[in-house]
Amino acid sequence: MVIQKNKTQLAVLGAGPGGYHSAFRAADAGFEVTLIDTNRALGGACLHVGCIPSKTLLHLSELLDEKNYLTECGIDLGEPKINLSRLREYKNKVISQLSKGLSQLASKRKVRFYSGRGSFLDAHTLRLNDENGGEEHLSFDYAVVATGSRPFIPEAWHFESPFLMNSSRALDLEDVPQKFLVIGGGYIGLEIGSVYAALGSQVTLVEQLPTLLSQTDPDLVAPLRKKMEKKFSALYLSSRILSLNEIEGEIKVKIETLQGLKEEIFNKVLIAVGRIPNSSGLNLSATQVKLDKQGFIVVDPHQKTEEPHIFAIGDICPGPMLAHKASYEARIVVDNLKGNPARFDAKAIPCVVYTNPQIAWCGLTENEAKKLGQEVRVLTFPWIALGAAVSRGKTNGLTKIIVDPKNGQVKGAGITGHGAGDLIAEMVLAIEMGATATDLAMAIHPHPSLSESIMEASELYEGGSVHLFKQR
Amino acid sequence: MIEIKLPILGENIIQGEVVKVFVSPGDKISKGQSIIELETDKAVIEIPASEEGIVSSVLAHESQVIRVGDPILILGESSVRGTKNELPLQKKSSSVLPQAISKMGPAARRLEQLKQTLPLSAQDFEKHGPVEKQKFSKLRRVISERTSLSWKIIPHVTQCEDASLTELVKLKKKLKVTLTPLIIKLLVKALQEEPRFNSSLIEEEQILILKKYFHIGVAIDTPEGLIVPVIRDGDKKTVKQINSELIDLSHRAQKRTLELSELEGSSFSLSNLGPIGGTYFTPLVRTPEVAVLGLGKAHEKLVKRRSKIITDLILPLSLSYDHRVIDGADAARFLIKIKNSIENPNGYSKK
Repeated sequence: MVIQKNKTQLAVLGAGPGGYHSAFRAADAGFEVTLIDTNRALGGACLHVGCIPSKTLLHLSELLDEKNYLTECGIDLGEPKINLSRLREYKNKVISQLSKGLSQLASKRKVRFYSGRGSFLDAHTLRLNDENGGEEHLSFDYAVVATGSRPFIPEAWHFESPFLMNSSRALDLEDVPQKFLVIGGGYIGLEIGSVYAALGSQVTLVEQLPTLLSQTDPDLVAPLRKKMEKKFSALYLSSRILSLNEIEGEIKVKIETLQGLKEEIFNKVLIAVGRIPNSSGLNLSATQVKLDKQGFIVVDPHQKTEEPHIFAIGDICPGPMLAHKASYEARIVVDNLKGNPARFDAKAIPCVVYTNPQIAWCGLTENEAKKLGQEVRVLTFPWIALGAAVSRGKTNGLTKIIVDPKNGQVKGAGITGHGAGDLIAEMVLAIEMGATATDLAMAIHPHPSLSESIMEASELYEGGSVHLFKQR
Repeated sequence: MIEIKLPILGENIIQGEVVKVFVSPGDKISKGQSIIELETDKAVIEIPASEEGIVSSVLAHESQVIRVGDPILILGESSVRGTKNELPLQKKSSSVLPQAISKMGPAARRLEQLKQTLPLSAQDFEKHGPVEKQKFSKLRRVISERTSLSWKIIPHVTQCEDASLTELVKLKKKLKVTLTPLIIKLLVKALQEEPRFNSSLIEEEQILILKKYFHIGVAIDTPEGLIVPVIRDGDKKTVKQINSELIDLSHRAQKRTLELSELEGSSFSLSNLGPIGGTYFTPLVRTPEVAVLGLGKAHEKLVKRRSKIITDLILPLSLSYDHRVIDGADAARFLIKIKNSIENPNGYSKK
């Protein structure tokens, strides 16, 4: 076998949001770039088995949810008929359209794309292996490690079963199981659980902690929890899976719940208990790059590893596992490559759960403020008082702004409700720009719109909002 | 029960220190009557009562810093009006007063980082032409740190003046000394009369330390860089003593054999560039000192004296000072004092 020897200025491992942002930006800055991914197409987990397919399905689920509302309003569209193969096709079309777009953008920028596995031979060389057995040794001046993360499956459940799924497989939509178990009350479990519930599965969700989405404030989660209690057949909090066994084409599960031990049979089980970084197959021990105990790559504020010419970004670094954090970090990397010593300086990273209602938050949460002993004022505006929400039947929401009580500067925000993921962007900008509640209150917001909830919540800082009367 | 609060006083005034409280519990006050005296950033003002009634308790006390909206006193039951005058908005105002807010967005913060961390390397200059690398000595690093600090924290102002040197030169010849010890002696007298110029500000505690000692730092030019040995107790030494001490200090400064204790504790500094040249300059105050006197090169100049144009020997004086502690008028008076003493050294020293 002939081993190819090649050279590149910048090698980018992983073509997800972090990787392709790095590659494209670097190419635009004049670097000669090689982008490597095990997948045959660009986009990473986000595009192929994560954000994009899940949001496609969640959008359709939300539309299905509107059926009862429409009937109430006098529009009866009849019983929905679900054609699963058409649904899959549509989802795959979305993915391939976006993936093709990325390929075109890469080739226009003359980024070389290598489909295969990359690992380090030493701190200046990568070994690349493609699926046809080809091997290439690629020496580089700089490298970016952006290999992302994968679903975590606890060791006890490490058995091959067609009925046991991780999030990637769940999004393939093989079928709509009658009884569907979701293990994990984080955003992945809630989102995929919602999709299957909308498609007709009886969904049971099990979460070890007493709350869903424990990283955000309970009042933001409350409207979703209420909805889930109706949509799901069971919601077991503070509960534990004791055993999972495949028996005659079904999965028998023992659950320790607050109401006692339950033994239930499920047709499919989704394990969504977290994600782990893809750092093990990279042979990083051939370099000085350091991993922490959980397997994340240790980086400085410039995203540099212990090898100053090797950067790491995205899910493989500590911090929230979010595509938009990875692409922000890609910006930092390329600025550093250009000789501008940029550092991670974001004051707020938005997190969005694309359920119905959506939950979005950024910056300081009320829980965190309590833990840190930081004095804050919380301004909450319920959507029931908002014209735009009432007219759309979307009153199960709230907008919450966390401000510094001394000067009203916005420190954090949370929004629950229709379109919260889009609305939160205004709050990210407010925090980044150091805006105060008065700034938000004095910026004219369009009427009627859900964005007015931000203006109305901000007005509470000055004493009162127009549509929320408080007895003094 | 009515609370009388500190009203909005004007643009940018958000707080003040209570100088005096004019009322006490039990007093009957009328609307418009002064209740406290308040010192704000801008002025000392009397705050009038916004309501009439009997004072049931006084919440503000002397030397307390209160903010707009904070309660000053409470009027008791027998007050004439009810609470309806209180606007609900005001209730919250003591906790929602604006404080300084940093409003720097991501792009501005990035620019700031760039300014702070722009790494320069020899290559950045070599690309433009040949260069030579020289080590930045320990002494230069000390000078760099101290001057940067002074430049950063002190709002500097420099004032200039001319002094006729004719009389002082006569005295200099008579005493067989150099010019610097004579100026030091005159300077110390001026400092005794204007103690603020011999002070230090402790900003965190808002106090000014007026020093009763007169240790003058004298800037000495050495091949390695600036060294400032200290002539201690300038008020207790004769010109001749200072002269010989200065010769010794200067000599040892060149050899870098001064003790650390001989470089510390100055309360005012003198920078004499006369032997080198130049007229006026803007010497840097050596924090924690609050002023510095710079001397230029004495030179002959045509001047008008008693309606006659004559040639006189002129010494250019440059006084830099910390405007937090010293005002322009103070500095002008101080500089005139020094000028007069230089021009009439005998008269001054007899005083």
